[in-house]
Amino acid sequence: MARWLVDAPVTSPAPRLSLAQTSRLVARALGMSVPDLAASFRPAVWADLPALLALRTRVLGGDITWDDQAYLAWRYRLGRPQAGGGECWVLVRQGELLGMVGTQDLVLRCDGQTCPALSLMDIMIQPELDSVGLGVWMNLAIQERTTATLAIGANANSIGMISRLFDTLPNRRSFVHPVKLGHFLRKRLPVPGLPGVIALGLETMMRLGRALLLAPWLPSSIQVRPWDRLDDALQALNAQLETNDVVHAERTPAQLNWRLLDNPRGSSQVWGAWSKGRLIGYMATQLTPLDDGRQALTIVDLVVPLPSGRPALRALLWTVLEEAWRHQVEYVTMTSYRQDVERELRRAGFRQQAHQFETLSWTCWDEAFKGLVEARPDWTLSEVHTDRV
Amino acid sequence: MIPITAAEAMAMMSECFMEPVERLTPELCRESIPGWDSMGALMLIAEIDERFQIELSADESRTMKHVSDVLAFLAKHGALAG
Repeated sequence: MARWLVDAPVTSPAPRLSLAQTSRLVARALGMSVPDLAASFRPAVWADLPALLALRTRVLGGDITWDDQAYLAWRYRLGRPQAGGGECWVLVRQGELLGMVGTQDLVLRCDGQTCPALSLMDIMIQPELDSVGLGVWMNLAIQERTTATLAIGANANSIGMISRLFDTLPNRRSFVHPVKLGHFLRKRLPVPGLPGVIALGLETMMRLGRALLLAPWLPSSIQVRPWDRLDDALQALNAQLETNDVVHAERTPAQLNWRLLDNPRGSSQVWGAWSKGRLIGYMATQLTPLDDGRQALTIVDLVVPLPSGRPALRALLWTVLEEAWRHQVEYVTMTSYRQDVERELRRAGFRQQAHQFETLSWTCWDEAFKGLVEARPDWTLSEVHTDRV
Repeated sequence: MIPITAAEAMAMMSECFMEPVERLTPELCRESIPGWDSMGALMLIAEIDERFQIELSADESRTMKHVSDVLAFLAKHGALAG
């Protein structure tokens, strides 16, 4: 991986390419004028769907294990103002789709100020146009149109580009809590029967340990129960979050229902923590298939005002670990950007694991807001702001 | 166009690929330079374009596998002194 991204402090990468510079190079490579290039980049509409599906099939191939048309129709507006959660931008030259980049609308809140933002995802270009600079140009074109643009996470192909087009913030942190040990032990102890016996003993001890660590601290006044459809109870939770010194990605019931419950690639289970009829925290989880029929459980979203909500956080973690045991998953994972939550994760037996692509980068043209954000180490970002789930 | 020395060409590549200049040798291959990815390649195209007004196409850029290939390209277009 790019060495300069490991645990990097907030930095501005140098040198950078400007949009004007990149536009000239990309337009020339595509045989277009710079104005034509700019005019050919637009939000996708429903009629673009067949070309989008064809591009994604070319780029992703067999990695598409879901109904991609349903996914695109769910995720992006595609010319329907009430649908989706963001625009899919396309570059079309004389009727030919050359590339796409998806966005998800966000509103960031920090120190009482708000800022509209976009999270970037789903960047794809026609394979024969690799090295032309189209991906770079689309990133810059989106940045220019938006006050704040986030690039959450990366992969081996994108990490170099992201590091030089965005301001790099410290990496997000990945945590794991093992639940089943049989698979792990069978790979290391090739003795028939023995790994299963050892695993059973260790798993039982771990479960007992979790009970001792968490259960005595769970007040009887807190009830954790499935939340089938998020509603206005969320507003009270948002108000409590205002007291936390964090960068908050605003959440509304409609947005979370769309993102967590209506996702055709996989619905989440949402758990609400309630006290005296009031919502004091929630968590969303998804079962993730692994090989050999095994599964993992991922905490895809977790919002609890702290420190007042610490008992609620412990109750939610207890619930997810009991659910993990009930489903007999291999492990529970969570990616976090909030240190006070991470202290509770560690206390509950989660361990941080190295993950080179859990990056967070952004650009923000509102200098005052940028200053507020970069003075704070904690965000309420989660997997619901990425294209992973 | 004012041709540059090999040392200046190395410094230019160091900036484009975000690689310490002391690591760059003509024999060094592309795979050994993490920053010589699609972004680094574009940085090089932009730099050569701006500094020498020479067009390095994406196709030609893709065929470059060693630092020496960049030096050869510059020499072929009269951008490398000596």
